[in-house]
Amino acid sequence: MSDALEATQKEIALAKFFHGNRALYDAFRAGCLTQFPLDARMVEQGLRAGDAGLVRRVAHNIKSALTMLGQDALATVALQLELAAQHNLLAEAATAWPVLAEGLDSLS
Amino acid sequence: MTSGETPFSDAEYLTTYQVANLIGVTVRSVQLMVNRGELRGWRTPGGHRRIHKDSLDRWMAFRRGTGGIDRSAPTPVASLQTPVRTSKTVLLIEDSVYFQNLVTSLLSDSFDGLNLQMASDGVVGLAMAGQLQPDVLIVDILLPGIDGATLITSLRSHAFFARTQLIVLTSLTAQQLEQYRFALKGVAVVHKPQMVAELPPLLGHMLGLTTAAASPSAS
Repeated sequence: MSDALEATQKEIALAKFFHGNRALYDAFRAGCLTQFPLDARMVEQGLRAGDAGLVRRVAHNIKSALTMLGQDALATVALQLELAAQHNLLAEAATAWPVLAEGLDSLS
Repeated sequence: MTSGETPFSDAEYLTTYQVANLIGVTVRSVQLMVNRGELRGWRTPGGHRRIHKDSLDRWMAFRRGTGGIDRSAPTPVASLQTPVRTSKTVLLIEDSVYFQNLVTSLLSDSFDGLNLQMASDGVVGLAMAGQLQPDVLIVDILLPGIDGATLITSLRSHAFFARTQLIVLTSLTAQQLEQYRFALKGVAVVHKPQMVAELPPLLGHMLGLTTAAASPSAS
């Protein structure tokens, strides 16, 4: 993603979800970047163990965080993962996960 | 702005060294405060940090307990304007670290002295609700252990819960919430993407600390 597009997405999210409170947005983003790798391990653990409930919950949390960061495309992938797990379609979830994992890595 | 200009006049900004001396910390600590957003700063063309004096004033006022909201940022219409003193207890049952952190930041900006307790799963949350008997319970729906809707139904069978007010904090869609509808009648629901605007005024209203705010409800 280009820097300009990322900056625009950030400004939109800042206005839409944080009412322009940049300090709050920045603190939230910093917390997300710390937590994403930990949640990634949880998703992988859930996929390995066939724990659809765990995958659904963590994917849902990641999706919500991405939405508030203005990362709409990645949030959509996280939603696909969440819905696949919700319907116990773990093979489908396992297909969506690498795309999301790569996207999360690119944010840090 | 041309490259030689600065965003502020000399009277409006300070160097990191000056700020460090003023508040008695190291220059590195000041740099970290800027990175965390506690102070507002910018860099000169040569890469040196400058700190906006107003943001230092606000930080110092916050440390003195006289308010710390960043007034340069637009604030939601219904939000609290300054931190409100309260000794009320709020229990947040939320497994997402992202939103545990955001709720903590948001409420500490809005309420001074609020006793915010946290549980990361439904089972622990249920036990803590009984033990703390909070003034307000903020609960997520998708939780490990017991989901939020089952937790609410269970709590309603306890006499103490009659004095506890309830906010459901969720990012589930309306369609996804449908299966939990049985527990949400008459309950205030805040959708996570709107929480910065909606949660502080709603909580303030429930705690009797502000005038009525818009209260989204699932009823």
